[in-house]
Amino acid sequence: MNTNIEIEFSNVGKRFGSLWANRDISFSIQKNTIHAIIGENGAGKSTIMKILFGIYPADAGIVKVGDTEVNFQSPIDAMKYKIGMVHQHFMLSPAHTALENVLLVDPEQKPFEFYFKKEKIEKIKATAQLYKFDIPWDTPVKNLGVGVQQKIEILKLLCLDNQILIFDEPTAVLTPHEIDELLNQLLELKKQGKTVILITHKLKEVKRVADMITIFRKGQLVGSYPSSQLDEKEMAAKMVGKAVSFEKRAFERFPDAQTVITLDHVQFKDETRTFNLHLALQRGEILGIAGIEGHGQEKLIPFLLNPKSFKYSGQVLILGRSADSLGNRGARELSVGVFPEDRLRLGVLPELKAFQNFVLGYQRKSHWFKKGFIDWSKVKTLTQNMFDKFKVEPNNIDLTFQSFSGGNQQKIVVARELFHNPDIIIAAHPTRGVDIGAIELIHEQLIQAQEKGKAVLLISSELDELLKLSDRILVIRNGKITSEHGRADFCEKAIGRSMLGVAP
Amino acid sequence: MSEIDILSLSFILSVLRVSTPLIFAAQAGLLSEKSGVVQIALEGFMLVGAFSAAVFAHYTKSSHLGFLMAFGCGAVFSLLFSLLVVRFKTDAIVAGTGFNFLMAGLIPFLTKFLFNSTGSTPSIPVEQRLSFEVTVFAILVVFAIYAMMTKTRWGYWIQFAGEYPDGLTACGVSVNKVRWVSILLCGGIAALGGASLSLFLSSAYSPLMTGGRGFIALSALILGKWKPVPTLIGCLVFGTFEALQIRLQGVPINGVVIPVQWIQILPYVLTIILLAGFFGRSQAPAYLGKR
Repeated sequence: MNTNIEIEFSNVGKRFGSLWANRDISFSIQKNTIHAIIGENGAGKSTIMKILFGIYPADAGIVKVGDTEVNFQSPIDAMKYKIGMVHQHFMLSPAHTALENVLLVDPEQKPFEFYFKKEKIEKIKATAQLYKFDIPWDTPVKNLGVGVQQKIEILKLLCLDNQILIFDEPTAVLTPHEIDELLNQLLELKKQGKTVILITHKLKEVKRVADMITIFRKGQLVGSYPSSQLDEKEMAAKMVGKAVSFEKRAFERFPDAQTVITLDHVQFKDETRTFNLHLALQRGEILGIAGIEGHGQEKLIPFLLNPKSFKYSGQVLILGRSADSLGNRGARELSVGVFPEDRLRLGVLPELKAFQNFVLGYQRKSHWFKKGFIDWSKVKTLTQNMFDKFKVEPNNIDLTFQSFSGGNQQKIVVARELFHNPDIIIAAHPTRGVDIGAIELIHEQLIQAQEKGKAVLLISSELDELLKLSDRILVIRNGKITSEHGRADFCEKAIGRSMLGVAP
Repeated sequence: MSEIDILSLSFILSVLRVSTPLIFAAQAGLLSEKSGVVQIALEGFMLVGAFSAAVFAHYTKSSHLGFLMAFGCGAVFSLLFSLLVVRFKTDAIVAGTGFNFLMAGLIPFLTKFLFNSTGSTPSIPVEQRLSFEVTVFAILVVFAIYAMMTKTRWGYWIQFAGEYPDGLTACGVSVNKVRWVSILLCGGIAALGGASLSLFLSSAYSPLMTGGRGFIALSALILGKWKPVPTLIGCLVFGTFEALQIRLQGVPINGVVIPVQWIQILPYVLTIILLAGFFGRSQAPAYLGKR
């Protein structure tokens, strides 16, 4: 048994300031297995892997690779032990070609050698063939899809003959089809004798490929289990510390199907493409927008919020008002709430306190004011009420917005937008970078809003989220809406194909 | 127009002459900017080079030694710039502006101290002036930088430092180290540009003799889209305008004498037109000036 252990952690700890990101972590990883590490955001699963990869030094405990005790000071040390990591954000230069990017990695690198060594290029291409990677070598990376980019990342590690491969949230950016392909590749890597460590919070994938599962919660180890012993529900319960509902919501069509947003053959242009949008959002429904990132869904929100700032043709009606009749503030004059995709950049002022941010975007509303001045004590009371209702942690409205964790930041934004009881809710990636507990709360809020007859436009890259919440899903590809799927005939595969633009 | 013959050998030589400082400075800027550090201190480095070359040429009676020492002095002063920008992460624009002012002030102080003059150095004998070997060397530098940037690992490290520093770090290469060395070379090569001003285009250092050439070099770099050989061509374009400007002074065109000042602004007008982006989208390194 012991001879099969590839990596062993004993009482490993890591402290940031006075906070322990990891404490007393002890577990081991077997050779030639796929070992999943799961946990909520901030549970410490990435930290422990960064210790293994030499990005952070450990503050306590012992890490062993094989039989040797190691204390990596940099990724270079880890590379010497044949450990490689596929980062969540690809470490690729967009302006350089695939080949140039792969050639950059070389443990025996010398500054003044010729960059394009023939034998190295041949080795790279042979490795790619072995793992059946089809890579356009001479195309700049910025012109390649994320799926291909990820393959280039993996290839970089394989070319170094790495034995241990760490994948940090590898499926976060992929389409269902690409995820499928990646998971098969992980199995192929295992077949070739590699040890794969998979950091993720997507339990379905874990269940499919992992041999062993190690669960983290709040910086502590919950335990390691063979994957055959746990089902998804149990995994989630162990991650969160309580049972989590996984049921898709029961769908009831709202009787009063009044249309609140109409885009009638709307066409407009930005620097990269022409948009053709034709959709109607009704009261009492959650309309999901699916699409590969960067296919135009990010432009949909600014357009809906202020159509006049675009030169468009066609007709836009928002809550019965023609877009042309709106003032300079666009749709925000109406009862519209928005959860922007990048909350720190578009939703708040991160340096200001939470209660100050609570006024943002609604600074003209009369209920804040007393004799023409903002009544801060009233704002504070109202903010405190919403903090209590949404269980924001830490429950302190005087902290700056940026000092909250991702999940709690999002809760504050959601709380602010819902406080004004909007008729239309536009939610862009509402659960991105948010932990399971907060995801549940945000989903509940969206469903409640829908049940009260609000209209929800949900833009998300998580197909699972769309499938769980939406009444209808529209697929957007290259700025055009290419297909519509009703809840009755949701098919993950069909939607995925439509996202990729592949004929069914 | 008969007075000026654009294709005459003497005109071409004068273009090459006035382009030489720009060629050095623009390639120096390329090294720094490719590694991700905005370089507006070229002017300051050129002043260092022009002054130190003149001083060393005066004392050692050898212009070649003076030229060489300019490289050393530029490199040494670049350490100050790197300390601010790479080590302490100061904004490169602020640090660069400060550096230019520092040099503009330091040099008159030193001339007073060394020669008891108000800003100029004593002239070297005309026969000791450098000649077109400097231009040849400048063009060799361009091709050496081209080869380094596109063929060697070090060149790719510089490129990645400017395009995606995190990727370089992940490969275990220190981005800061790459930038220190790039700026060191940048300081030295830009100083050579200055040295060619004081030893090749004239025979002494005179106050603020760079006259904005550091910034024109930067424009040539942008015109050349941060690529060595196109940047060289950019420098020659600016050089042509400058030579033309010298030729046209006081020469009547169809009987009308254009005021000198109008002709002198030509290179600067061209700079503004180029910087306003009339020549296609700029292709700056993605992480230029970001940290």
